[in-house]
Amino acid sequence: MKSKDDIQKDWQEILREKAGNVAGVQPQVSFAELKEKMVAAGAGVFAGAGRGASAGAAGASAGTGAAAGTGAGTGAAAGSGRRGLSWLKYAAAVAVIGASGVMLFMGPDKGGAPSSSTAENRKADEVTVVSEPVLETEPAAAAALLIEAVDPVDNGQDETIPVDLTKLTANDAASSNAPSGSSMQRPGNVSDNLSHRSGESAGSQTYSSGLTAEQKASAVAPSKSTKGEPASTGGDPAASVKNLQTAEASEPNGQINTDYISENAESSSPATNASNSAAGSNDTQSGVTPVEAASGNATESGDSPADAAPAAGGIKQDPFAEPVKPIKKQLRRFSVGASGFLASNGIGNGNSNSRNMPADMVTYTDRNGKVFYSYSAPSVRYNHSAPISGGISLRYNFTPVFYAESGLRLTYLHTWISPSGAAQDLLYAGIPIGVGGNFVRLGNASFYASAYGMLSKCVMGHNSAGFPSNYSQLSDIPLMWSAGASIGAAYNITRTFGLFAEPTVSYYFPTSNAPQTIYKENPWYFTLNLGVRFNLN
Amino acid sequence: MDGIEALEKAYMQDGAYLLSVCRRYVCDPATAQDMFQDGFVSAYLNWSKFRNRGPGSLKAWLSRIMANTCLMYLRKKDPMHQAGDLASVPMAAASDSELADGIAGVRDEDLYNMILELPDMERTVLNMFVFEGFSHREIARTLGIRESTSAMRLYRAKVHLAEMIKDYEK
Repeated sequence: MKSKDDIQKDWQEILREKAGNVAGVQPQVSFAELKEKMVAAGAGVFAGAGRGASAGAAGASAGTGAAAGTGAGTGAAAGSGRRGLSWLKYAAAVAVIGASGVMLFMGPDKGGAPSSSTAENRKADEVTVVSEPVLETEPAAAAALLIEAVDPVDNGQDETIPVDLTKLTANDAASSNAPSGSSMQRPGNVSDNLSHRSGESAGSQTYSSGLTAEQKASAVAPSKSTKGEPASTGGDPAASVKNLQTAEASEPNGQINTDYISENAESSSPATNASNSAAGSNDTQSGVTPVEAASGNATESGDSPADAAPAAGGIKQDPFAEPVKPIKKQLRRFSVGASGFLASNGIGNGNSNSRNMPADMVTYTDRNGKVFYSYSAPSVRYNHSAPISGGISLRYNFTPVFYAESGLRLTYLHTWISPSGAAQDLLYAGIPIGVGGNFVRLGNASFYASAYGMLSKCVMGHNSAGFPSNYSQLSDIPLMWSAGASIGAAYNITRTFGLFAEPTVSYYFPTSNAPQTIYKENPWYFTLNLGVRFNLN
Repeated sequence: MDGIEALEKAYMQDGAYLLSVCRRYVCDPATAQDMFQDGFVSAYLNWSKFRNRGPGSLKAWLSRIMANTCLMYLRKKDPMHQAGDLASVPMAAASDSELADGIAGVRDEDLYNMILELPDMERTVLNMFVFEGFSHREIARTLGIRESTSAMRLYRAKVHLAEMIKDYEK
């Protein structure tokens, strides 16, 4: 037995099939006449179309401006209006590509010279992670380990000079066990020496008088480890050797002056080896020379002139060392990313982006409450195009591991509605707020995970067929809430510029009165965000 | 293929059908011819908005433009604001199943002519609801009437259609 819906569908469909395809009489007008009218009307319109055309060009250039990194959202939104929508998705794509181009342009340091604060987040990570074992080892080892916090390319040298590890390690092992008087430095000396080492190792970074805040932060682990303890107590020679090997491997540019090391090995005071090895730079700003380090007094810059005398103990200055500059930051706090995706599929809904909506039963009653008419809306089919999305984001690193992220994301949703043939175009601007963490670093690659929530507002929308939608104005369209999680892989091509890919799972919270979009039908969504990231200083 | 060529092809293939779409909205033959021409001019001017989605999409797009053109004309003519009294709406003369059976038994051309005989306001709503697939809310917004008025006019169109089919069967 047929339901009322079926019956109603029947009479409508039968009527549509029978009367809708009736081809009546032929048009009286020939196409030649029609063509004349069309061309005449077109000429009239096109003659006055200059303004419209230039408006379109302005919109396009605004999109390009967005690509220049000033904000994809601004540029895309600048093309508002019906004319703007036709090029909107292209402008969004240009914005993402352009942003990457600009970042490629801005990313590498000009002339290839390393900047003073090229320390990536990973450096700070290394400081934190590597220095942990030092807590239980010798200050000398700690000094060596701190070198790992140094940017290996900051000296701008590419050559690697082989190191006589035998001498180095043996000497170091001896020094770490030697209970000599000179090794009985006050705890601060050790950390200060370490800070010298750190400052020198930083190459182009400055060692200023005393410890900078960053140096203190870098040296916090060894400082704690040596606090109140003689420099030579409790050391494990093997650990020292190992750590020094590590230090050698991460010496600035991987280079260690052989002469400099061998002379350190011959130093009369074994306990100063760590200081000596750390004080291989010609600290012109600080006035600290290797002599100070060798004498165990290189605790502060600006010491007595005698401290600045040339090394009498035969210690050579590191010829590769450069005047050091202040360590400004070891952690790049901000990074800007531009990303986008073009196609994706809903989870659990297959690949189909179209759907027949169920019939909607509507009942009307008269003044007495008596039903006088009810109907079921005809079956409407929505064909959703894959969403196009792009945007920029700003990331702030609280720590080398954890970060917060926000930005602006534009999403273009297109839906073709049949049988009416209407096309619905919606542009959403969303502000995501998320947190995440960098968990794995492998060389220039890093892997991270994040979670976000996003609030999106429809900023543009129209129906191409000229018929109004169910919303008389944009403010009628409800906000769209979504949340998601992603894992990401980033690869830093340079210190400031990198690429990333983020597989993301998102959930768009359904809203009853929201327009019919692909997100409404497929609330779970998987996307692959691709983009570029620019690490700011 | 540029706009002129495509439109010429559509004119040759679907001209009669597109004219019949116009007649369904404006039953006057001369006015329908005018709407047909205006629709083609409008299609030519808006050719950049056409998206080819395969066979039949141009026909659907043109029929949509024809309907739009006619609706603009009817809106200017303003036959829509003759709001009826809901309380005076007659009850259905036939059930939906009877109507479906009746429609099935009528020749296509005769059914088409029955639609042309409907009053303007009823025919317009019937065209939009049944043939174009609009909801009453969309019809109401397009024509500037209330949803309930749209529903009432569709109901009246049904009643009238059922009466005509009864007469036809006799």
